[in-house]
Amino acid sequence: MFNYLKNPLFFLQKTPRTRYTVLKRNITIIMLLITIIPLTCMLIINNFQYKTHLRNQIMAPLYAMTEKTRHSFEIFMDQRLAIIRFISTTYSVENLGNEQAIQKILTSLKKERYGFVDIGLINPKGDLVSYVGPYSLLGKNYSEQISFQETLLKGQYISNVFLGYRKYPHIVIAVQVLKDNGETWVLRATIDTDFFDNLISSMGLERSSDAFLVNSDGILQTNSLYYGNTLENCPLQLPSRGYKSRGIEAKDGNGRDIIIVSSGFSIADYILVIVQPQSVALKSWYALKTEMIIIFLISLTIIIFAIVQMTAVLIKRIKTSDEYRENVLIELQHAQKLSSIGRLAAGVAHEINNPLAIINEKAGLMLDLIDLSKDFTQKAKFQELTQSIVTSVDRCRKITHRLLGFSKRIDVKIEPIQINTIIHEVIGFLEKEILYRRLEVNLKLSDTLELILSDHGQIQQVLLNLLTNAFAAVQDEQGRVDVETKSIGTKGVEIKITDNGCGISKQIIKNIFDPFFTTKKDKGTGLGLSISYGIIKKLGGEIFVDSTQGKGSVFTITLPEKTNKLESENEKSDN
Amino acid sequence: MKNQTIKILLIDDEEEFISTLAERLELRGYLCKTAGDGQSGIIMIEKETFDIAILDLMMPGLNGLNTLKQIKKINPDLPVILLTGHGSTKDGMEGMRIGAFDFLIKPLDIYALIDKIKLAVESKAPQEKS
Amino acid sequence: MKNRDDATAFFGKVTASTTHELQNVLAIIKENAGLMEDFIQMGPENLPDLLERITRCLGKIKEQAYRGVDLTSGLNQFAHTTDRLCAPVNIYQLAKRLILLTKRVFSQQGIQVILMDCENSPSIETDPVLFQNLLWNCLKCLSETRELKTNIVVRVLNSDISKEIDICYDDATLDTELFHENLSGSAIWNDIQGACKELNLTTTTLTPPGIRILLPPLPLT
Repeated sequence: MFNYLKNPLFFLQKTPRTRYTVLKRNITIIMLLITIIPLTCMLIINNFQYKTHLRNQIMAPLYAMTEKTRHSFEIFMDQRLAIIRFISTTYSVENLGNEQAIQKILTSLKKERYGFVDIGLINPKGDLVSYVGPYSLLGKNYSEQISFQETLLKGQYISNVFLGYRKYPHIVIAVQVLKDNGETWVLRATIDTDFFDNLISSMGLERSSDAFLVNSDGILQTNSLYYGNTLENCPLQLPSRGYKSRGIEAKDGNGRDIIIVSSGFSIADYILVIVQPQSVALKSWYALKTEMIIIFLISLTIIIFAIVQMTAVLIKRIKTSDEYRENVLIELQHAQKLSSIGRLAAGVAHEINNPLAIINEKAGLMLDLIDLSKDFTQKAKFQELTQSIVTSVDRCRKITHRLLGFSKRIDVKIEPIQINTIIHEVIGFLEKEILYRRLEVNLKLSDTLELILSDHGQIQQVLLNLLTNAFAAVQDEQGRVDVETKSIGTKGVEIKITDNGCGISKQIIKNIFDPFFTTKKDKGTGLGLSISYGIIKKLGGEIFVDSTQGKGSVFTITLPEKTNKLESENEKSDN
Repeated sequence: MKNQTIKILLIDDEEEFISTLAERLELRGYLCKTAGDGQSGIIMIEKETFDIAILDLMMPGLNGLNTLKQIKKINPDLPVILLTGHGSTKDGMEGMRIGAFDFLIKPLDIYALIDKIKLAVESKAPQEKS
Repeated sequence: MKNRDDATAFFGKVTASTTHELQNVLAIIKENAGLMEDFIQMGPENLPDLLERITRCLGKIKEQAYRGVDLTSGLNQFAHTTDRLCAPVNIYQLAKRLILLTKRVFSQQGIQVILMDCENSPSIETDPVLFQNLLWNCLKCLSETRELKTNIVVRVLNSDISKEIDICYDDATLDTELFHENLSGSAIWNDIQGACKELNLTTTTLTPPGIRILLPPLPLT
């Protein structure tokens, strides 16, 4: 986790533009997918679910209505049958054969408005022996008729519609009459179909819906609004016949999408058909569907717009933040660089003072001697004093040489360098302090240390920082700092700085390379280690620390043979 | 002559500097002894009597100011003149607070030093007499 | 960022230059010491005025020793200006020190930088490193935009109305217009403007040709 956080902190983009473009594109795509896929799935699932559900909801009332109406039809027909049957059982055949009696029956029936038009009695041979009504059917033989045959077979019969009296549609019902002597007579009656229309209109269908009766041959038994009149062929393909309502979706002759619900009568050869245009039936479904799609499209637009905008803002923020962070780091590095030059220059200035003071004294003494004795008797003495002046001058030169070297290496320059040399230089800078505080400094530098390709100035800066820290951690007199260098095969060199100082606690060690983190209360900016870390990483190396509180610390730096300018390599090695 | 009795202890870790300075002062009639660090300087003060001590502030081990404090404990009447580098005038003034007689910046102007030595010894002298 | 970059380079340059001068100082001392060795070797028998010659060498040595100390103390103070990002700065002292430390750089170009006395130097709170770099840039600018080498005069002014530091040529006959023209396109003028912006200072051009940096009034205490 620690490493993962460190890397973005010190990541330097090599091609900023592509990095952000790629990031933007990736984020946008991922976010779009994350939001749109579920939305679409939901849309599709809802679509199907609603469709099925609504379908059922829509069909259900149609079914119910069809059933109900069919039932009403059947009840009505049953009722008429019942009446005839009642008449057939109540009146004897002889009575029924009587014209006057049958006339009276018809009159009563007519009074009750059952729709009876005529009534007649057929003998076992099939002859219509008694009749009252508008037709002249008396004496007609029905033995060949389906109506007669079926009545004898099933005990009753209801016919399909035919055009009867005054060209109105009528139906015939007949019942079997069993005489005591075993003879089978048939009592038949004609009924008009007003009740058909009444029942259909009582369904209360919408204007665009159509309801009618057909028989199993597809002949219309009532007038259809769109599909023909009574006794015409119904052009529609009806659902398969059954006693329960069935519904199908179809297209009618005009190309309209329709729903056909049909229900077959059990009592007679009739099928009640209801035809509803899908637009009507499924009106609410279509409305819902349209709404869903509109919502989906609006959501989609909003999502896309929002994601694109947000991503743009986000990337911009990241970019700004990255740039800012980068700038801050560079500024910090500058500050530290300057501060280290400052410290060194100050140190040098201090150090030179003494030799210059010495030179001054020596020269002063010589002048005194010259004053004192006008004869030149002090040749040896003078030589000695002059020599000391020269020695002091040399001492100064070494010091200024160091400072010059450092101040000239302010700019980054990659060249072959010998780490051991740099270590000696840095120790040189700190010589005074080592002397003053009587610290023990051991250098275990590998004789065969390879040259590496890197930047002298920056490595000097890092080593100065680490050694200064080590010196700060140890105590006077007892303090010991060891510096060790060795080659690590093809991977470069390793530098280890060990001190026997106060050490670093487990909690603190995690943050030690963070900028502005410091345990020195008043002194120091807390920049040193974080900058050192940054420098080492940029030079392609690694830096880590191991420490025991109260015992001491070990800082280990590894530097590659060649510094990598491609920071991505650095990242990969960390991950 | 007064000059001949003035005994100076010079404490400085720079041997070259202090030995030459001692020589120059001796040419001018002072008696000089040198110590290479604060600790040995204090031991010498305990053993012998000096009229004045000249102390360098930047020394390893027991540094200048601490040495001064010790001296003042052992022999509060002993005037001490401090020598500082250019960047350490702060320490010089701190030394004055602790009880140094005065301070001078290196490299030295020997005549200025001699003036201060005279002043320091004279300021002590009345006490000696009494 | 550029300002910081420049400041670091500037620091390196001044430190290097001062160090070079120090080395010169040491060289002179060494030479004189060598000369003395020769004289002593020859002895009074061969050199009747041996003692005078030695005295001369010693005089020079002492002179150089003090010069060396001036340089190192100046360098020390200069080095300490990196301590804080914002500190009170005595403009006259800062100019004096900078001119001392950069004497060699300009004298190599045949230019002498003269600082006029100032009795009451203004002090401002600013970034010492950047301010020094700014001053250095002004000096550099003047030394570069002129073919013939003319001395540069630096004047620190402190009055009730304004506080400023002027860096201009020591030659009133020079063409101000021409100077302005040469100035406006140059990179160094951009750097100067940039530094002024960062330090919240304003700069104008002068007659005789030069640069004036206006200093902000002291903060109310």
